[in-house]
Amino acid sequence: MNLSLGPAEIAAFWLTLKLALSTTIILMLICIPLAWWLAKSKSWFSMIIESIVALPIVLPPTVLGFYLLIAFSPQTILGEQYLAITGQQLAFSFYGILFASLIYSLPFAIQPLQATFSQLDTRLLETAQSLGAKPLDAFISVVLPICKNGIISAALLCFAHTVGEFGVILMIGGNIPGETQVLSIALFDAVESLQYDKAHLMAAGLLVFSMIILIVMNILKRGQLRATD
Amino acid sequence: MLQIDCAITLNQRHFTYKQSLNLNNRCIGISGDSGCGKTTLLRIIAGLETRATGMIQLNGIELQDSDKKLMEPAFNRDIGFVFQDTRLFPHLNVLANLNYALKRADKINFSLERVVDAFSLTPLLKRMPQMLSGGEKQRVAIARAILSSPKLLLMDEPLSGLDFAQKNDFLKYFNQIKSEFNLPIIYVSHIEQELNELSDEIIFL
Repeated sequence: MNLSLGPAEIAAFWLTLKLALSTTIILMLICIPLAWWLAKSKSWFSMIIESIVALPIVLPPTVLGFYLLIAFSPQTILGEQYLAITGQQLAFSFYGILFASLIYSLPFAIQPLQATFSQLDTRLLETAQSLGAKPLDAFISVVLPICKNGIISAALLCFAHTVGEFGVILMIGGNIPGETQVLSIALFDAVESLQYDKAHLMAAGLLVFSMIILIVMNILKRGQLRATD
Repeated sequence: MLQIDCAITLNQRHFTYKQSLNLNNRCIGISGDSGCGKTTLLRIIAGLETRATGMIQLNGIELQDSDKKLMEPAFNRDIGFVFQDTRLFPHLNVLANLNYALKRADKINFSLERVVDAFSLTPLLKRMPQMLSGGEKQRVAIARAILSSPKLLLMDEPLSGLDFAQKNDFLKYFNQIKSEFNLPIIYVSHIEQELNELSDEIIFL
């Protein structure tokens, strides 16, 4: 058994890491304020947004991929503008799969954050304000540290989910080594071409990675329950 | 002088407040039956009940005037609040809880050392709130409110939940607040004996 990866698989590993990190950072920046609003708002509008945000959980990745592929085509405003600015098509590019990942992983970031924020005792924010903290200051100095474990859990889940994406990446990005070929697709490619040694390495690596993420998340969850108790 | 002419409806109950309180660094006790709106009054004064309508003036400065659509936010009112349940920040130790208020005070009237000494907090500074007794938590909460250098200190039933020894301990520190820090205090309680002992004037709602 040859226990080494070729240049294409190593490139797929780095691309997966780049995609998962970019998706996680961008989604955390978007989702922390959005999840806070969803956790605290009682308006009907927030309920609609909550449902829209959760859609990728129940939608087959191929459906999402198909509609994104149409949205990215140069015949649409999005695709046309992207082509005019960059000179490249959005579909079958890294930024295309990044955009798809952001949408596909959105609920996996939002939902744990929303659950964490819902458990927070908001009276602590009143206290912070009575001590002279402005709302943003109170959010940064009280909410974020108390909800730290929940936020890290959400980021880990988002990262792990992006690493495991397959269908939507294949629809939007195809299988271009170095550009859109992520680990899960490289694994599929290795199986298709009967390179089981490489497939074993990648599959076992992803399995161990997923287990570690789940164990860390469970540890953090227990810590978060103690912090918000 | 604190002037209040406010109204609020909470859970289908309507509360109206019309008071003119001569604070003058005294402790004014607020008494009344359970559910008569004592805590709500404190929350309105502190700016924590944004649904309240009407007018509030503290020492001639308007904190709220619905006619002028003026509503000074809680963080801008310079009013300290000691909550019934202390509400210490669970992620910060005692020293960090105290510094939280100090760092956000517009001007520092009382130094950290002075307040720590006055409330005998030195041995507690590195402890987390979860490791404190009820009485210790309440002392830290009062010290923290004083460090925010408020123009007025509101105290909402700070003795509830404390045992007899802790209550006696609290009384010692309460007298110290009055003599050393010279702050006007509005003190809410439903126990008349407590108010008689602590207040210079009692108002019944």
